[in-house]
Amino acid sequence: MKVIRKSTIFSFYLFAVFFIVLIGFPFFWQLLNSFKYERDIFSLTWFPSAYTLENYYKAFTVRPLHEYLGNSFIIATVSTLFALVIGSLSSYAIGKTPIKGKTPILLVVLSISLLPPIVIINPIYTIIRSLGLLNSYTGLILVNILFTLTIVIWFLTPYLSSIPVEIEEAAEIDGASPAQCFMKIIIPLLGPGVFTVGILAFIQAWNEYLFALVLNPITIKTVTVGLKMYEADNYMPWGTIMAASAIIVVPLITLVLLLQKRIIGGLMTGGMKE
Amino acid sequence: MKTLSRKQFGYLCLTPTILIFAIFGVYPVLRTILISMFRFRLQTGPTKTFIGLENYIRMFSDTRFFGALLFTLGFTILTVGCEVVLGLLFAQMMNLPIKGQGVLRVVVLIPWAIPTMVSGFMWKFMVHDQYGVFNQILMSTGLLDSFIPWLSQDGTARFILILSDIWKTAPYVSLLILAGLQTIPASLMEAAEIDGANALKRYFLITLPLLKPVLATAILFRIISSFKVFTVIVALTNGGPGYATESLTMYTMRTYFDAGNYGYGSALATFTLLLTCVIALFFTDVIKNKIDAGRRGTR
Amino acid sequence: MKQRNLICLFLLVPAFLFSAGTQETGKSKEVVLNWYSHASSLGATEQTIIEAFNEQNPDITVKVIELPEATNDKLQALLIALQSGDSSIDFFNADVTWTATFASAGLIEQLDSYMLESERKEFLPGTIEAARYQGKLWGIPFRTDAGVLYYRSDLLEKHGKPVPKTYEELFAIAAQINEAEGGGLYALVGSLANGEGMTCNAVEWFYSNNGEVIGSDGSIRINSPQNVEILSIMVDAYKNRLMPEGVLSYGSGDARASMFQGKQVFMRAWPKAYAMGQDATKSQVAGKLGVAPLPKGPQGTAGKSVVGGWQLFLNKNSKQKDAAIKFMKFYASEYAQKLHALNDSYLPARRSLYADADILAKYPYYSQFPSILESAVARPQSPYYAEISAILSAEVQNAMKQSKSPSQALADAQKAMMNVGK
Repeated sequence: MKVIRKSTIFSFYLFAVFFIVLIGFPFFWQLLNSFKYERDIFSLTWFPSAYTLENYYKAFTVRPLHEYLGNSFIIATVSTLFALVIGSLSSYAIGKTPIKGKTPILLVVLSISLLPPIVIINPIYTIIRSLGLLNSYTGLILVNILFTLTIVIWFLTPYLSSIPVEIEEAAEIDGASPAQCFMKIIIPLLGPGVFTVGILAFIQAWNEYLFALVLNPITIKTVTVGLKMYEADNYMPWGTIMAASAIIVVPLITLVLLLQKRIIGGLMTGGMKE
Repeated sequence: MKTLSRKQFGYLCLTPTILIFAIFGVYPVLRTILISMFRFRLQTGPTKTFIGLENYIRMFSDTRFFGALLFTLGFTILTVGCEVVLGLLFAQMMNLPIKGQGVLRVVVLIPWAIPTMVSGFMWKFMVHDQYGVFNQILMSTGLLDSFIPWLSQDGTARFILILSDIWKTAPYVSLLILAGLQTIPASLMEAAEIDGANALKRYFLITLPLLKPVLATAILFRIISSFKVFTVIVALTNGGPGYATESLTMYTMRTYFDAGNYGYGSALATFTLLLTCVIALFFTDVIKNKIDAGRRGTR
Repeated sequence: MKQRNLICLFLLVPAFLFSAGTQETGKSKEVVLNWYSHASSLGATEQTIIEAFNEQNPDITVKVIELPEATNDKLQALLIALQSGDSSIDFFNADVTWTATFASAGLIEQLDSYMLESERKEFLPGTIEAARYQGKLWGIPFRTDAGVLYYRSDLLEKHGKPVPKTYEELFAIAAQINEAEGGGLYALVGSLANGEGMTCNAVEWFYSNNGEVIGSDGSIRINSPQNVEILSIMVDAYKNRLMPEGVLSYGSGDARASMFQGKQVFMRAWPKAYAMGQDATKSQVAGKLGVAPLPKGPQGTAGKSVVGGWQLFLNKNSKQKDAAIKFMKFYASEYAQKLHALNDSYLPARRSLYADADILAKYPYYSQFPSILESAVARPQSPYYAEISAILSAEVQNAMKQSKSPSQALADAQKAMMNVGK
């Protein structure tokens, strides 16, 4: 075991503190200000004598934050679920079946993940509009599936390769059809991988802005679009916005903290887009 | 139920994906390219007039387009550059087997996990002229004698945008690089040390070259990502002051949805696509590796 | 685990298909109108008006759905929604500059048959004009607006200064007051952030110096010596810190904040700022505000205000047009407009209210408005207004932040505007 110099340890902790302050300060500042009266925010008092919960109350009354949260949750969850199902099937097809054209397919998947959304925004808007799905859950869910599918496929295809071929071969000898192999053998083994990539997909769908802005500008707004609505007459009610941001962020951070091992593992092996 | 062969089953499984990609991916791309060759806008109703490459010719005399392009390129180069450098630094730190390292890895995730809108607003609040904590700190430590209206000046507005993007993403990049670092066998480093290579030499001659694939992948995805920057600009400056922070995506969005000029907007979008392809061409190794990784162990 | 997920999916599919698309509205006998309106800042008065309407029309419910705050965002959202043929929007608030855009795109219903000449005469001619496109009437005006000058009556009185009639006077008076007060006061502020606010301020500067943007023959006239002159004056004022340093990213809220926190001698804003300024819980200058017509430039004949205002448009695809019209007219009635005037210091679109005793008692300066509005400048009515305004705003900002000289900025604006729509 390599011995580490004291100076390295010292600089490590120095760095760690610096790092945590750098990353943590904006959150600290946001949280702190969410509890202040507006006059204290404007007078730049860091720690006023009085604190209040009125900003949190306002966060739900000035704008229907609960609706935004609900919409985001439904859209992110449903798109993730669909992406997981469709994606697992596709990963299985690519990873475990002798179909032709795997390289072109993987190329298409990669291209979609690299595609700037602006290139397809207008035709997608037209398609969703002609389907009558503007300002709905379905429209945005469909579009989110497109992008989260790529994450799922990229993650699960190599993941599947770690499942030995022999397991399925044994089942086939026993007379199992490919569908049965998939359902009975692969799906249970996919469990952890699906869970991990599901988290990544969920976070991606939750944070989506561009399509949410264009497809749902009036009703069924997501949290990302809704946050901008607090701007009143070019005046930002900062206390309320900070409270709303805190409400949005705290569950996300909690999720991340609880599932950190998986997320870190997933990101480090998958290493896909943000 | 009719039993399908393995191959047939595979095609069946792939069908939903192919459908979604075709309808929502491939078709829209082709359509955008097609419309870019027409004159088609909201004000003239549903009529489309074929004008060939006229939209593109117009692009080349459009100063606002060049402004957006230059800003987007500058933004991309600066953010990716800084993120890579910082990412390498952070990853190196996180790779040390010192207690407390796990905490850092978790902290690193948090900026990545939150919506860009939220982080954008956090920054907007911090750099506000009158009640932003930035100006307050800078002035109370005497580094400034009057506050800087960060978002009202071209240079400082761009600076803040880049800064907030780096804040949000450098941690994530460092995680990717950490993954790469951990694949470098310790024995290799020890052998080099025994051979007399100092820390710096070891880093540049062993670590970095071995990190090349990870770095290349990270750089490719980060470049593509920065290139389509939009949300953080909406949160912070909305393209202002003037058009100083208007990205290519933002200009295209405004052309589509504010001016209702679908033809010209499609040309801008197609140009973005072309530029993305050009960038991707520099990273064919990365692409090849990714596809191979996808195919590895497949039947 | 996958099976459970599959079952969940099968349950969710009908659930969201059910809620997809347009929303389910009330009981079959009752009519529910969806009104896409300004946001909650105006909630109280709107609610009172809706309740009054319900007393006379108990079978019609009006649901208010809020649009984004910034005017440009509203436009974007509305265009996106209306182009889908969505019938869930019945009527909506529209800025005066949007008539050509919505009418030419065929998204709104013509209102000639719903509003007779006799009814139209009750409104200020400028408001009816703004609701017209190609000779037809498209909107029902409920509010007009004109940029005005706000001043600190207490400071002007204390230092014996008159209300300025020219910009030269304005900056001189502000400088003298600032010095006498020991510094810390800005001269002027307006909503100069890139967008419609900047356009309005700039148009006012130009026309107050006898310049033009688009001539009556439709030619682009933005690059003129008068415009360059007045723009240079403003650029110098900004350079010399007579305006707040951050003013180029100020929306109307930020501009008001500067005035209400006592940092300004003068401000240019819409009339509704008055009511806000008198609210002692939000403003430190309550009781110290005065309102006057805008000053003129060196070559100007008179200070010119830009006409603003709002009207109601009817969605062409609404299924409840008659009920919608009922409410739209009610919202534009004398009762409703008077309420908004008293509560929110709106400028009514009806002539009669400018002689109304109650209104004049509360806002004596309203008597000045008929003449201000008579000579006020309308922004160009064009289907391409959004682009023209964007060019104007950006180039004026370029001059203000000194990335271009005023003459270069206006020359570029001229060129760009002439290319619009081609």
